[in-house]
Amino acid sequence: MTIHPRWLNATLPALAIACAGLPLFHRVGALEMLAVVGVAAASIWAAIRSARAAATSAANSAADRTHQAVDADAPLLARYGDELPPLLRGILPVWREHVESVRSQTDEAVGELVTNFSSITEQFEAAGFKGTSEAPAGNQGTTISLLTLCERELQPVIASMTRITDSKGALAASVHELSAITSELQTMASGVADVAAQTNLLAINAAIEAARAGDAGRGFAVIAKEIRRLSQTSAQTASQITGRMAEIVKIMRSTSEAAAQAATSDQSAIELSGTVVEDVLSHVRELSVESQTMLDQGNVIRSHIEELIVSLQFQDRVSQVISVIDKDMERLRDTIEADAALPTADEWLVDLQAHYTMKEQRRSRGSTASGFADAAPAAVLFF
Amino acid sequence: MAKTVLIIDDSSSLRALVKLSLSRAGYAVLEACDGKEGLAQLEKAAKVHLIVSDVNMPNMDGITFVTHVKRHAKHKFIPVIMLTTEDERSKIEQAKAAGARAWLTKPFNPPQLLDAVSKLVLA
Repeated sequence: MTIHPRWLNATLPALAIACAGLPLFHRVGALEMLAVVGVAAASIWAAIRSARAAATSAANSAADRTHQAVDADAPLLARYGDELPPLLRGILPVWREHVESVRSQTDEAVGELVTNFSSITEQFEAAGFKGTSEAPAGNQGTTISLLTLCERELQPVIASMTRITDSKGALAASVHELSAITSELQTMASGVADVAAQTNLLAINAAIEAARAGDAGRGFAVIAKEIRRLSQTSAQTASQITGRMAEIVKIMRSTSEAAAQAATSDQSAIELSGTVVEDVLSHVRELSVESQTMLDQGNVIRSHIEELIVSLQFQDRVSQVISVIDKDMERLRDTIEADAALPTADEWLVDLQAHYTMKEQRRSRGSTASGFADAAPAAVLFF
Repeated sequence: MAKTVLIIDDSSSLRALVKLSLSRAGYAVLEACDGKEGLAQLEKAAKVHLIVSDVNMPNMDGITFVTHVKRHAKHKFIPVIMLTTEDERSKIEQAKAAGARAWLTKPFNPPQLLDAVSKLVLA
């Protein structure tokens, strides 16, 4: 089997560029192996180019002399044709091993990196630094809800307590008024007692006059006696009413004093409650401000996390490129092993490009720029 | 109760990144490294609300996986988002014909993925 230099001239640069186009290789130890593969491919390519340039120069000189068409690759065929198949047969499996090793090691390394990063993120979130796009019932939400709850629930309680105190004040005023009326009744009862005393005196006088009148005044004496008995009964009743009224006035006065004392205590309690509520609301407001600060910082952290998640996906894209290179090396090995006629370089590249999945791969042909840095998230396509 | 999302991708690092994005938003996450393992996970899981699948994978690719899911009496209503580096129009059409509900090209943006996931989980 003969490998035509033109074919290697086209495929080896593609392999070298693909390897060199992964800029992070220089920073990751495991990826250096792949860089070695790229350098090896580039070396073989350089050797062929050098030999080809020399052959072309010799051919041109001969053409100048003989004016005959000369195949510039003919000397190369003679020089490398027999050596390249065993060389590639020997080094291709090694290259493939390196490539696979690089792919698996970077995949594992990035996986571990993400796991550790995930743990750090959880610790940040546990500390309260959580952005707004997360679950709504976060610490900040709780604090803000608490503030709203305090303002909504506690203020009406204070208002309600004030209303109750006002009602108690009205009750105390009524008791005080009742006490005044009772005092008036007590005075009236005293008046009744005076009337009874006067009536009793009149009855005594009437009895004296009836005695003087002898038999003619005997009937009047009976009436005077009855009037005197009634006046005494009235006096006793007035005395009882006065006693009772005194008791009522005493009870009223103590009730009124108790109500006044309770009103004073209630007022103090309300004022104290109002102060406590204001203190609580003040603390909650401060907490709310701190929560907002943490929320803002959490949003910054969240934004960085999202950027990092996008950046870390380089490994998946690198893996795609490496897979295509690996498959192409396998194809080359199989072709050599089968001792089949090789396609032309263009045919080979068409087949290689059919396995490309990303824009960066299509763009990288003939360019040393990887294009991975340009890879940006695209819009979601819904069906 | 947390909704469950099955992630299918042959890259463990990519699975870890999707898992990080979704678990932070409160989703429970199951993982599979290819379509074949994805089908096995569906059989084992009590309930899967959504699937996020790669396209190019060994053993069973993403489009074949979707085709299997959509033929399954129990799993055919689970929405599937294709998450892939692939951007060929023909592949997108194949996924759509197979029954996928959305196509998202890597690298994905976490809020974008979460938005698509929540829309399809609630749909």
